[in-house]
Amino acid sequence: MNRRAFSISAILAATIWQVPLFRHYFPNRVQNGWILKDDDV
Amino acid sequence: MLYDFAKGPIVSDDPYDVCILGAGAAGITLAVRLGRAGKRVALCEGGGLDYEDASQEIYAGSTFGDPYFDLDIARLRYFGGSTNHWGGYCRSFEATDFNRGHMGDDFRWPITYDELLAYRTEACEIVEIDPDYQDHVVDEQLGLRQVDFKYSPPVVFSEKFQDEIEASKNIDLFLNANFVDLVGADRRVRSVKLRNYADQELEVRANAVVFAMGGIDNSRQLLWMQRQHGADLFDSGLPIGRYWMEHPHFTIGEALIKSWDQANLYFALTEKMQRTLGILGCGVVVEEQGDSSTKRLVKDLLCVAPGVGAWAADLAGKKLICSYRFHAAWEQAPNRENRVALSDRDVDRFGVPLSELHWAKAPIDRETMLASTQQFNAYILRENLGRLQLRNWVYQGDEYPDDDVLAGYHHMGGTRMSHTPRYGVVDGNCKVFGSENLYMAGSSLYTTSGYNNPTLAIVQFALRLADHLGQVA
Repeated sequence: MNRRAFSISAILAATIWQVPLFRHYFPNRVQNGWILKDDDV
Repeated sequence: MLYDFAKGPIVSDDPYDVCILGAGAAGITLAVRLGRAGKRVALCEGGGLDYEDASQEIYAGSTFGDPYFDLDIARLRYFGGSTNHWGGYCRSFEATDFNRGHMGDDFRWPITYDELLAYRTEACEIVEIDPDYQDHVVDEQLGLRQVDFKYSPPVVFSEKFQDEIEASKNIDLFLNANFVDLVGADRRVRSVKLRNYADQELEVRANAVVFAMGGIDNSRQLLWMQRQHGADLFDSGLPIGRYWMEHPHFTIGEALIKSWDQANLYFALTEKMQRTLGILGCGVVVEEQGDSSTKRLVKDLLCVAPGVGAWAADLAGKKLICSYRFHAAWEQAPNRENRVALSDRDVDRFGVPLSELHWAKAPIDRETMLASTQQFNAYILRENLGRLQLRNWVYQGDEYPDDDVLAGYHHMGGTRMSHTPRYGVVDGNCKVFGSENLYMAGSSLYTTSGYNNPTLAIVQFALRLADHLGQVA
């Protein structure tokens, strides 16, 4: 399969943007991927 | 009647009322419906009755952007098309899909949901499923609903309709007849040129011509016609090949949940909640896993949250909780930059440039998946049903993994419907803008993709187009 590589800056920009997006939707406590209630731990 | 162009020259009994190029779900449905209505139909298939490399190679191409399947394995090029190998999942567009004008002109269909719904029962009969879909809202506040999928056996269209087509006095099926050119002028197609693998040519005259060559080749061949004929046959400047869409498919996590009574469940958000969150459609498939997965997840949860882990371990010991895999399949926003283009380097054996597929997921696509998952997670936590563990790439904001399912082999858009040639290629009757008699059929028509599998709607649209052509061709 022939693909054009994305530039490193584009990948970094996407990654930096996506973490806050996740926190926007999941303000919960997250440990090792588990979405927890505050009183779980 | 059946004519195999591989066996030598054919003299066609033209003119036909309609010439259909491509014999997959769309082309066969259209041909059979028109034939039954007394229309004379030429159904032209580039492949034969069975798979052959010489035909399949024409589906080769290149992909750019996000990881995607090789194009020659993502579809099938012989009689029956990709229905020769499909999963049978059936669920059509929803009213929500035709009600997204608030998101911009890119999202606006030129027809209503009811115009398509009118053909659902008949389409369900063709794919042999119960048309009664039992959806219900699980939680109004969170906008969560359980949705019903139906499973076709799956119906292989070539097997289902071959005898009828061969016996029909109105339908002529041409096998190994590859579309190579349109002949016409002044915005009207007069005939179609077809070629076999020995480079013999056949010309078929028809009052109307329909491209039904699939969700990639409809764009490829129409782009080729644009390059060959300029504005002679249809408007120039149409966004041919653009707004191509897929359904991203990824496993987003696993969960420990108090046991449900079904092994597989499908969830989606209500129209109201999608609109509130500003997202598109996303189907969450929840699949039960085995005891070993339950033990593994309990052990992991005990490590990070001993309190709730002990609760889960207790329920697991009583067989009251088990593990589920969460898989999401969702709607991509129509994006003009996602497109089928013509290769400037590679051509098929008939000299037509091969496909280039430029496809990438956008931020809103990620947001649709995350927001839908959060609503589902909120329901699990509020009802204290269990706990969800997301995959690393989801919660760490990494790139999508390239070792997952990736997508659904659902090729949509490219010759999309629109209310204006600025945003689409065909009008509400599936006719190419500026043409008097050139039409498109199949999922390349889709203005938006919804989150559901495309085949049932392909059949609905083909039935609808048959009704239109029955009046005008």
